[in-house]
Amino acid sequence: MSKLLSVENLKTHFFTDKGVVKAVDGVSFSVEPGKTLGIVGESGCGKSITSMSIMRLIDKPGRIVEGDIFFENKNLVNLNQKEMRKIRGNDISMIFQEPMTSLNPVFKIGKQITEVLMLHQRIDKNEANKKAIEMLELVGIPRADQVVLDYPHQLSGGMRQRVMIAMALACQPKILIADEPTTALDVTIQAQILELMNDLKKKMNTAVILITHDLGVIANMADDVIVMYSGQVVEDAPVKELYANPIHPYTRGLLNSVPNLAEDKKRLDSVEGSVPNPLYLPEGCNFYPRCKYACEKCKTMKPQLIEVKKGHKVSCLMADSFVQDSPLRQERMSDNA
Amino acid sequence: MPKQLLEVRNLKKYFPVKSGFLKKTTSFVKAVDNISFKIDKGETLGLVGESGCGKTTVGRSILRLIEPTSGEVFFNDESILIKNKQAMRSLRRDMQIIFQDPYSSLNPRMTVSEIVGEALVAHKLYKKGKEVKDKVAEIVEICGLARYHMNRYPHQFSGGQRQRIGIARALALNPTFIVADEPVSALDVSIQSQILNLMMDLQESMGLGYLFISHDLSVVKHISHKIGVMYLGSLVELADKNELYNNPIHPYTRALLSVIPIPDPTIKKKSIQISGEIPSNVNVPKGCKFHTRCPMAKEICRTKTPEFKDIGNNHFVACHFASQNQCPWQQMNDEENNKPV
Repeated sequence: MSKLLSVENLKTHFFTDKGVVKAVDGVSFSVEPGKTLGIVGESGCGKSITSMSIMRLIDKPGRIVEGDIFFENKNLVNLNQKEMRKIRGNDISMIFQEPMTSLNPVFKIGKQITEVLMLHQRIDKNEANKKAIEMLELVGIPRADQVVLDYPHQLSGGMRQRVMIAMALACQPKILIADEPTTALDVTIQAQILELMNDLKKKMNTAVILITHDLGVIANMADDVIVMYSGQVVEDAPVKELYANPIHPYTRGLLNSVPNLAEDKKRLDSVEGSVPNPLYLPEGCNFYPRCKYACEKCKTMKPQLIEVKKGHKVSCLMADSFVQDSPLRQERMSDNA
Repeated sequence: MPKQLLEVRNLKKYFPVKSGFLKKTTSFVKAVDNISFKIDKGETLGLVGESGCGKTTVGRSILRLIEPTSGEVFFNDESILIKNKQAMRSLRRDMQIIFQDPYSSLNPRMTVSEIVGEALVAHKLYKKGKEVKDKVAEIVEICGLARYHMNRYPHQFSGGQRQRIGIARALALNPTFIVADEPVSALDVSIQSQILNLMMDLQESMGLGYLFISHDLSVVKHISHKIGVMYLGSLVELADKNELYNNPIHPYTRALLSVIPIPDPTIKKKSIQISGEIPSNVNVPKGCKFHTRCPMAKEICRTKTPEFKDIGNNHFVACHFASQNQCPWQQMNDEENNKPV
């Protein structure tokens, strides 16, 4: 299938007083229409900065220093603000993590949705209003015709997130970026929102980039997954392949450290240590200080993201030894048994 | 036989809602409404529920960090709600709390050794100076930090390390009971598992009893022996861990369990969607509190409050249809058993 969006070797750096923070450092991936790409990683790994870079929302002291973002034959990196504004909210739109803070508290819900519509679709106020009510009904808000007259504080967290989704989908974007859309919500509400997103994706054939730290959500929602660590992609694979045969030690550590309802474990595995300070990244592989399998060359050589199996890319110097019949892999299998 | 450590009977906490010029109390927020449970020595009771269901208020009421409206709390067979301030103070040696947010629960102007050692000095257990320092070093090392960390300030640590400081502070007085209020929800998964392992190790070596409050059912399942599910200020179900997860009775528990995303893309479980949101605890629905969202609600649920009773096997449920014979969702139960695991 053709690619809708492809990010190539994206580097977004922040030039702070203390030094250069390489928040995103050589990230590549692509998104296909109607598919969901999941981006997982811990806080500070660059997930959100990646999505903000696609939207070109990076403020000073940050800057995209290198790389390309191709969307429909256009390179988003080279567009000026005016051209970018046509794409933002129209072709690519975004849902933010905090439904509490991402709506403007002094405008009514209706006004906030019609603003997007009137800007991008050149329709008049009445039509936009009708469309806004339609969108709110689509995302399952009861008595939508009254909710448009409400202010954000009159709605609950789940409702606000629905409004955000309605707003993001108002112009029928080709790509929807959802940055931790359910993290601030309760599980029962999370289930409602995720199901809604899946329904809408099918109805509108929107491609979704889903950013989250919750491996359970990814397993249920994504078609493909990339795992990020310290600003880099460490593993990229289809979702079933990734959960069945994780290769990078970090991915395996992550998967094993989550308590799972479906199985009983006496003790959780954990990734020892913590994420390195982005100002002082290690010289070789970013993960080697926490890696159980690190060897001499990991300390000096930067690994590249290479395809080790069809559709499965890993950035690890030791990747070969982890694939298929390696003893380490069997050790993991026996650990789980 | 394990001995009973803590017993809570009919605990209630109502917060008054005041309005008008004279600030008259017009209604109450029933944050905790008639809760009873027991915790044995060395045992963990997990308390789960959605935000606003009163989990945290339960934890704080037990320690009397907020005064409960009514009810009784027995700690080592002593009623603690009647104790005066002084008696309470010495009792707090045995009861400690770990807070949710490791960023705001540590005083930024105190070093680690001051934070952890403060209680030791306040309770006059050790003399200020070297004695306290040595004791602090010992505790800090148990919690997985190094001796040289003692003179640093909280901002110099990562989230996981800060939570270790929070745990060290709670452990300083050698307590027998700890309320852990969402201790891992602010942490990343790889760090979360480190802290959970630490807490379980400490429980084993020091025989601690935990009241573990969390909204994450997978975490609670991992660490707890018994689990209580709360909804709108009341317990709806309480049972041993495996009993609860294998044989959930209350429709709310069943729905909660079914909507947790499992980190395995090959498992597609049928989720029971419950529509709507938690009602406000000022206008609690009459009858069964859950009837407004319950897929199986009948007439009786709207009028009569169900009793919280034992259906055998130490499995307590508050539902009119709890006895399994007349369980109207038995059918759903069977369907779900056919799912691949």
